[in-house]
Amino acid sequence: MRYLSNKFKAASLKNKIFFSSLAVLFLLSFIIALFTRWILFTSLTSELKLRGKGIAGSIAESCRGYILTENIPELTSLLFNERLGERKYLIAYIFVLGKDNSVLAHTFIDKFPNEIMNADCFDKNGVHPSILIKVRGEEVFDIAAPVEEGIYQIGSVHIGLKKEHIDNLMAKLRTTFLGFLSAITILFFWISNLLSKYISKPITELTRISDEISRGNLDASQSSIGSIKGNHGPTGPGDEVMQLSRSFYNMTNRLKISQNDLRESENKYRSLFVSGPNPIFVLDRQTMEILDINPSAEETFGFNKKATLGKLFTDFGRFEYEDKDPIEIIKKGWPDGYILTTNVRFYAKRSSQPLYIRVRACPAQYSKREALILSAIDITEMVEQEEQLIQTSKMATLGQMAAGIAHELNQPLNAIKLGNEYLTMMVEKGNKIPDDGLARVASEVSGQVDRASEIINRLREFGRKTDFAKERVDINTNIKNVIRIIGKQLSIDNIKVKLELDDDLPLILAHNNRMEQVIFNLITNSRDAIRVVERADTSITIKTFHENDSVVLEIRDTGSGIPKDLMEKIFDPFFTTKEVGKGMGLGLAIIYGIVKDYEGDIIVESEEGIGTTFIQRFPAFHPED
Amino acid sequence: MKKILVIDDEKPTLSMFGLFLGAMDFDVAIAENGATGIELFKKERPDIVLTDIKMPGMDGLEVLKKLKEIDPSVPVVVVTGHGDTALEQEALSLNAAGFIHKPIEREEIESVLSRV
Repeated sequence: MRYLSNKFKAASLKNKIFFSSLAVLFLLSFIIALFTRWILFTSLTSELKLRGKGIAGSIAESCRGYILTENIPELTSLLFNERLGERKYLIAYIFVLGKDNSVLAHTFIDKFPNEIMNADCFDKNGVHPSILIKVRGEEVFDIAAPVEEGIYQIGSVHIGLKKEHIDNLMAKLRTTFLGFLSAITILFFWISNLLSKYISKPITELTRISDEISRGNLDASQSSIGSIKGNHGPTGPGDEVMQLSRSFYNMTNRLKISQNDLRESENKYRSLFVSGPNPIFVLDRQTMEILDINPSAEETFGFNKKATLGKLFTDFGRFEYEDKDPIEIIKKGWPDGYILTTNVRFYAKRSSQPLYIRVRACPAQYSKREALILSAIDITEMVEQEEQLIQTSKMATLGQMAAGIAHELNQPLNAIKLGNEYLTMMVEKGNKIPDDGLARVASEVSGQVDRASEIINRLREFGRKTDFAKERVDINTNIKNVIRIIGKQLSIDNIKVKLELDDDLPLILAHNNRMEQVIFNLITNSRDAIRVVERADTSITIKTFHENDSVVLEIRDTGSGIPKDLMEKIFDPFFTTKEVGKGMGLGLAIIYGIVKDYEGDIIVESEEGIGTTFIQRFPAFHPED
Repeated sequence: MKKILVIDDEKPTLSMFGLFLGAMDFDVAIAENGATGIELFKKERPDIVLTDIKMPGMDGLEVLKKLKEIDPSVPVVVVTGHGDTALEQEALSLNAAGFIHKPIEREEIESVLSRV
């Protein structure tokens, strides 16, 4: 049963329609056939019996005289006449019984079959029912009619009606019925075939087209939908199948349009990717694996695309630490709409020297992966030029300080030289060098050598080129380092240096030697401004403090001050009030650039004759963020 | 034994001057700045004064001027760095007795001191 139901489920729509309608038809036909057969059989049988009764009655009437006269030969001939008359196809036998149920005459050619006598042909009232008996292998309806004389029954006439007659009729009927049924079946087959064709063919076609669409062939499917039978275009009347094919048509149309739009926009972005002047990397957000690079990236970094894909971006480039760790942002929480902008020190294949690139990155989906689109600008040249400029200005500052530094270096050398001359003189004179003298010379020489090398180290550090990466900088340390180089000279110039440093000053992200350059420059500016005026009490006050998450550096002098009309120009490059040869006018411009580079701010307060204050603010750095 | 006063803001230099000039048979007095130097001069009346020129507070030229005011005949030798010609001109005009250049050579100091 289950097998059948499964088989049915698996069958095609056409077969389902055909078999189910056929089953209903057959069931109905079967019931009708049974019913018809029953009615027919009953009516035929009663008709037959009625006829039999009539025949038997008329024979009984005819044979009454012969029975009374006991004229057996006439009786027999009468029976044979009836038996072989026009009803011979119907009548199997006729016999007449006498009063005592003895056989008076019969139409059997041989001996009278006893089985008839065994069948109880009469009931006790003498009413003769019609019964079905079997005589010599033939089914026969035995019908009896009494032969009466007055009120007495003097015998009975029995005739046997062949059942075969009814069977023949029934068989004929069955044949006709089966023939009719076959014709109906064929008709049904044809109708269901037609119907299923009408319903299932478009469905089969739609299925085929769907498969085609899923293979991406939209154009081919469009034309075939149009060819589906009964389709009157996108609108119009029609049955469910037509509506289905129509809506399918509309759907593919829509799909085609949106696919075209998609392809167009994809082409647009692809061409931006391919022909854009800036290198673009597509990276996996979690692993930083390079998923794709554009031709500009190949060109700029000398990459071979095939060899580069699959490698890790972090093997080539190191993200510079800004206020937050870029890698953390990339791999974990990416704020909505945030565009990551940072510098990367990049080790491309082309050269062993690192390139400096500035990147902008935003997250995207790429081949179902969480990706990062990273566009880069090679800023190596810019960084180098800027570095060169700062270096130049630093060297210029150093040049200005050269005389002072020379004096500074001369001091320890002088002490050492004197100590040495003392020892030489004592040796030449043949005098014994006293122990305390020797000890003093030894300790002074060692101390003065340390002092000289300290100055040289500080100079070297100051003159060193800045590293690309920002570092955590303590401004207080920078101030102390600068004062160590020029403090002595300021005191020789009778300038008092007042330090008001905040001991809990937060760090900032900057470069140590650039910050020293800024402080150095501002202090030398102050010194120059102080030299101009005649004043007994001259000082430079350097103050650090923090407020509102900013680190503030204040350098205040008691110098000449800046005239109001020049205030706007002081940060302009090449603006200087100094004599030719004394300054390039780049100092403040470069300071401004450096401070801005650290997202800082610099403002000036000045009053002529009273002094000038430079106030710089930098964002405090919080490493735990 | 001649008495000599050395004025210099550099302690190590002063210390070495003390040893060196002591070995040259001078009676050495030292002062760390101009003001102390002048006080000491008034008190000790040395035969020769050696003064550094670049000093915080009162510098060498001022010291020279003051000493000449107190005693115009006292020989004052000025210690300078190499190349400070402008300062030397000024010192000469203030009647400096001579110059010694840092770093100090024995021959130079001996010849200058022998002249004064």
